[in-house]
Amino acid sequence: MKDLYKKLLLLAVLVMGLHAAYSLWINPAGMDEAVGESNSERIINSVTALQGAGTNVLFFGDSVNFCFAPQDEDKGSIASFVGILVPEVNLSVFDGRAFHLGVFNAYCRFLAKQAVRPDVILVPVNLRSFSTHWIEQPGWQFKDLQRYLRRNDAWLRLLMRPGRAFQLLKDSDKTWPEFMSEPVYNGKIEVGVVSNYLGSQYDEPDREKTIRKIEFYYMQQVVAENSRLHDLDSLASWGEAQSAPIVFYVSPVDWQACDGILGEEFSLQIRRNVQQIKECLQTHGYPVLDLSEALLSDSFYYRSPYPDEHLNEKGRREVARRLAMALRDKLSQTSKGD
Amino acid sequence: MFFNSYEYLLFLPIVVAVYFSLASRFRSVWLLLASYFFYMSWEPLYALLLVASTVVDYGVGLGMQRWPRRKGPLLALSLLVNLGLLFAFKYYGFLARSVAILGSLSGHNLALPMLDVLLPVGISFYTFQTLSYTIEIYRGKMEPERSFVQFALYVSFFAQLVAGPIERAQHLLPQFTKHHVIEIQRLLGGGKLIAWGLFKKIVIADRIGMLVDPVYTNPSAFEGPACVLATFLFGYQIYCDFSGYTDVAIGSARILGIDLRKNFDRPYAARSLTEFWQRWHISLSSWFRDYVYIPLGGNQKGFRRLLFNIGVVFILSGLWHGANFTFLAWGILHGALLMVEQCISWGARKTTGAHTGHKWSKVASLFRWFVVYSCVNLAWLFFRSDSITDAWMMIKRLPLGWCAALHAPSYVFSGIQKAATANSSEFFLLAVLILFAEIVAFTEQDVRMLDLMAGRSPCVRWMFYLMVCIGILNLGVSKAVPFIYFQF
Repeated sequence: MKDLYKKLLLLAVLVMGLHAAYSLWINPAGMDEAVGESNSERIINSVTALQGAGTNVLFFGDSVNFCFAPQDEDKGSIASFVGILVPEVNLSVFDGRAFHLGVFNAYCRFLAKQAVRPDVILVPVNLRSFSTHWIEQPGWQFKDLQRYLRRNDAWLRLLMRPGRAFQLLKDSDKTWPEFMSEPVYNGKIEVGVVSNYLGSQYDEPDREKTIRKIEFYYMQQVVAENSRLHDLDSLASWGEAQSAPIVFYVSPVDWQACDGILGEEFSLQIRRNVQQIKECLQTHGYPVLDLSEALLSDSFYYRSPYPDEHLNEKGRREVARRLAMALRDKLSQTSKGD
Repeated sequence: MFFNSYEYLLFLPIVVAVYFSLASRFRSVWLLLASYFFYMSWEPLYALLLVASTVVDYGVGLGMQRWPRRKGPLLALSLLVNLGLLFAFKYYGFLARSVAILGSLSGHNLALPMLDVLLPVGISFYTFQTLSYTIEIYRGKMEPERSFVQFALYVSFFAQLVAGPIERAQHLLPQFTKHHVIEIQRLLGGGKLIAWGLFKKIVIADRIGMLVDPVYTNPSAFEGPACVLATFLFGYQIYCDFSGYTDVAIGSARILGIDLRKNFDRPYAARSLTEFWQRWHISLSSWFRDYVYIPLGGNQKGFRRLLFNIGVVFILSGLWHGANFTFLAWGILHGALLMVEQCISWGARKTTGAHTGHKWSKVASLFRWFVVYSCVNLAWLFFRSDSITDAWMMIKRLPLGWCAALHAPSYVFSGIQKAATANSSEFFLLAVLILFAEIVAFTEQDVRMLDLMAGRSPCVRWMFYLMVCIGILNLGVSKAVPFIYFQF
């Protein structure tokens, strides 16, 4: 038996040694393997842009930044419009579909490790991203990306391949069936589970379904335990510690259409949630540019039959105009500070 | 808790350590608890179905012994409960959808209420396993198990609960009552089988899946050569996936001192479809043989009846795999091909008077292998397709694109490569891995994996073990993919 233990120990040591040699030197996992080709390209492009001379602005975004309406004459993103309005800055865009504050937080820390310091950081706070719909959705968690951004070291390279193959490191901490049974809230009251709000029954909209979708997207009360609020708090506390010039803005929602369906209850809930976000950021000394009720319905273009926060050209231009003003203010503040 | 998860890699050593440290009388209870824990890691509520099936068949078994004249009704009760559960959770949705389609085709509203339930993991396996118990008692081939714990363990033993092998009570139950001691050979043998099973699953099957999935997800974007390549690759994927699972199951049980049945025997080496089904998913094939084919008369009631029996068995086998027209089509196709094979054999016997078992020339034998291999892979096309529409689309695409492929063979790969975001080195790696697995399978012949390396020099043995371990740790597909047969 002792002989067996010795042999097993020797095998384990050899396996670990060879594994370390393979995953650290012979064929180390690159960024592509860690975060996927498209995210890898985003990171490289963004970091390269931020390393340029001049005033560098990091522009974070989710799909609201780049989604457009088919009839838009100019299908440019909000970031591109900001770039036109403030041509004196170099804009580095780091955006992606369903990107959220957790990703932005991890990316800021990643940049700090690379000793890259943007002059201003623009961070959108999407109100829908605080809902179960977004927080728990398996494809929208980006755990792999966040893990890589936060911890790009030898340990991760050692653990990544076996960790993923044996489901220790996952891109999401929820499976689809688990997501479908997650609770949905209206205010603080549980009103159902995700499966009640998704599926083919929503292919043909009516008033009742629209009410439910709005509830699903926006009506959850942002409470102190909300994990997205923790992401925001973490980002703001990092920014405070680093004295990072960050412009936080709450992106617009179609309050006009939603109020028309749900009544004033919708706007009241939105204001409560914005207030919670403001309080969180104020503790770290950051103001918030609140654009939640800045646009009317004619500035939106829904990606589904139900109200959401995606914008048409008019909406994107208006948000870009407001951001350009905020950016100029911030730049003037930072130059005064210098 | 999948076999290819870190949870299982923690779970198994704990189960083994506690199992061997307990007194014999407590071991079955421990294995039963561990098995329920394993099963409940998916959906705790569905353990109730397992309990229901166990309680009913335990009672039915004892009832048959106590009231021999009521064996028939008691067997009917067992069939009703087990097949009823299977129908409710697996086939009702399919029936409702089919009725709705029929209704829309005939212009009537024939909608049945839909049940929004998840398919309980392993339900097809454990219901068949427990049914074999009651049928065997009904036939008087075994005595009922008196210990509820032992019987419950027979139904729920974690190593083979969710995807087989489907065990017979006569084989498995007596093993639970034996006193097992830790044996180094079993420990090592089981460990090696688990490692080899994981290698086949994580390194080969999942890697093939990366190339197959894009083609089957969007068949209209691909032409004949890519579709054929993807289909043949899927044939190897499902073999490595399922036989890999089986190896882990057999290896896990072996460590505990329990022998499970062999489920695969180099199926793609078969030279007839009959032989294929004697080598592929052996525990299911033999279940259908013993409980459907032979009771229907097998080959003893004339040639036409034989063909009918084959048809019935393969329609049921197709449906057993899944409540979908694609599985039904797969079963029907296999049944039809077997009927053709039987007709050819029958014709040959009539004209030449030759009997089965005569020697074929090497060329003829190779030709037979090629035909069988191609037919089996063609049938996988239906098995893998998400819907009959997709399968039909694949078939329509099959004749296209061959001229371009002949002019530039790389064309075959380029489409898949692009869709799978793979590069040429991944194709090369895959080819090397498949070759490696085939060499092992060929060398293995009738020797089991655990014995294979025993006779080799230490250097060869250690090289092999290291290659497998490093392969699992580094060449595994980074996205964990469940075993294909878990869905059944």
